[in-house]
Amino acid sequence: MRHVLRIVRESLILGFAEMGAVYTWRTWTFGWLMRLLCQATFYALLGRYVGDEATMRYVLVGNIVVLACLESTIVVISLAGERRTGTLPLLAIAPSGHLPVYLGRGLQWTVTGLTSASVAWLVLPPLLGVPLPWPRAGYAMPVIVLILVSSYGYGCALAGVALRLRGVEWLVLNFAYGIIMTFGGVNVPVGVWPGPLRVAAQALPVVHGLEAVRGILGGASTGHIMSLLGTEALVGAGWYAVAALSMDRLVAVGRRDGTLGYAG
Amino acid sequence: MEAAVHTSGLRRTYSRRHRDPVVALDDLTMTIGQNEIHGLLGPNGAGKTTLVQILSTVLLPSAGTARVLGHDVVADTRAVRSLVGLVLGGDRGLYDRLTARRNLRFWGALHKLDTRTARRRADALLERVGLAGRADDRVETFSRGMRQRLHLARGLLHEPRVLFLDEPTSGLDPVAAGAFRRLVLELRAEGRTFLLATHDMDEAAALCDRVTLIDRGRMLLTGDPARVGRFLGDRECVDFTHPDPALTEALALLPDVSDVERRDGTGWRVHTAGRDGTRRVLAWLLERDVLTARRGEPTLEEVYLRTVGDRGMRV
Repeated sequence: MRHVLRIVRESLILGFAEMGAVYTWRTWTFGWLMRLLCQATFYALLGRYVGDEATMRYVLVGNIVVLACLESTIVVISLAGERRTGTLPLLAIAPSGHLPVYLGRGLQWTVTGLTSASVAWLVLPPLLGVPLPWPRAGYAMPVIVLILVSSYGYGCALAGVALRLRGVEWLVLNFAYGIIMTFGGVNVPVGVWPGPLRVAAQALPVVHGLEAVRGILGGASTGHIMSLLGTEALVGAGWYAVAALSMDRLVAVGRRDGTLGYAG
Repeated sequence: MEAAVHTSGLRRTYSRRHRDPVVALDDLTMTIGQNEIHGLLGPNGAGKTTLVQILSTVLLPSAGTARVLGHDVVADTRAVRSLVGLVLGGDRGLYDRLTARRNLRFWGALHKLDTRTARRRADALLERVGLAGRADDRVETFSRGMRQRLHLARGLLHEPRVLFLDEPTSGLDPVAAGAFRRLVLELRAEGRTFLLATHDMDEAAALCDRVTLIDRGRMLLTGDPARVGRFLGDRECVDFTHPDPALTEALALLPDVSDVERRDGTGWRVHTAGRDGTRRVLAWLLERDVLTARRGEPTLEEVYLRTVGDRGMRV
């Protein structure tokens, strides 16, 4: 277990070092974070335009919480980078096994995801005139962390696909995020969708956690909230299992067909 | 003493959609003794990297067996991984945004070294490969030679007994390549075994106790580097087409021609004695309006078949 934690720590250091190639703290804050805040604001105002203040609050909460998912699924890009750097075969034959490092390679995005969602949670509702009910809004923060964790598993699972298909990481990332934005109850309730889609949406991260957040803000019973949190955790665990299988298969197939060393 | 590496009937094919599979290794049987520096020579696509990948467990063989210090690379993967180090050539395989020291600590964690050991070994290896002064600089600022030394340090981090070097001095300037080779010789003196995949005959001559020449996945010959080097020096020939066999009979009488063979139909191959001989043969053919004449390269297999008898190399 200790060596797994060491791998996670080293992966985080690597992740932030790589992030430094793209952002400085200024460009992250005034570029990326501002973009996310504008995105949530845009949807919230759209909600106000087509509905009322309640609709606006619904859309705003959804779009703030989903930021945690958006950022944590960027692990798809980080993992695909292993092909470009030529480290994929070296990771595959590392004595520690490849899973800890694969699962740890995008953890920096969970840190930035939590930061983005937290800033948005604190700043946007009062700014847009739909303040959240405190202290209940504070109780929702741990739920956002849970959503972040389950979304990261979702991202890792899809990263396994992106690594196998090669060169499709941006497509996979946008598809993954688009699915959540569309069917995850962010802008419209999951119940709006036809039966099969509604059922399929239950397997997505964010769906149950976001419902729990809305439940907390609306004063729902603790039992109901806990049940939703349990489901979100279960869905997240499922995605981690898929991620582990997907990456095991990536390595097994790569050793068999000789694609591990491909640059992508 | 147990062989460091032993392969028997090793075969690897790559399947291709709607096309015949490519045979990268074909019935390769070879043995590398412990504490040996063994060169694996061959042109691009000969199968060198495929062999290195199989021995380091990155790739599965299609048939045959491969053992490292007695451990099967397929059945006993975990044991093999702890015994071998893979050193890649070129720019890939390192994290550019990390410092040299952080790269080694990262790989130390993956090799399950505890924090103290990883730090100690990283510092010692950086000193050894001459990178201690740049240990805290990002790898993206490193020259090719510095990267290569860091590759070697990474490969040594878990103290493997067998190291596979895949074209480690490719693209290095002569000074950097020389320094790298001295380092390999030092490490051999400590009891390590090296398999060095390269297409650089000079490098093989400078470093290796024995070399194996492979082409199209097949082993052509194995022996000491000096003898194999003489083979490669003789690789000169001229290809041309001409309908009149009388011309080739006259050609065969020239002092620069060692052999003339019919390729197909009106195609001929003339084996010459070195580059000057090739030049004279080309001039001779052009004087007779044979405008299809061009310098060619016999396959390594042809070189072997023509010379094995009188040079006594072992396949």
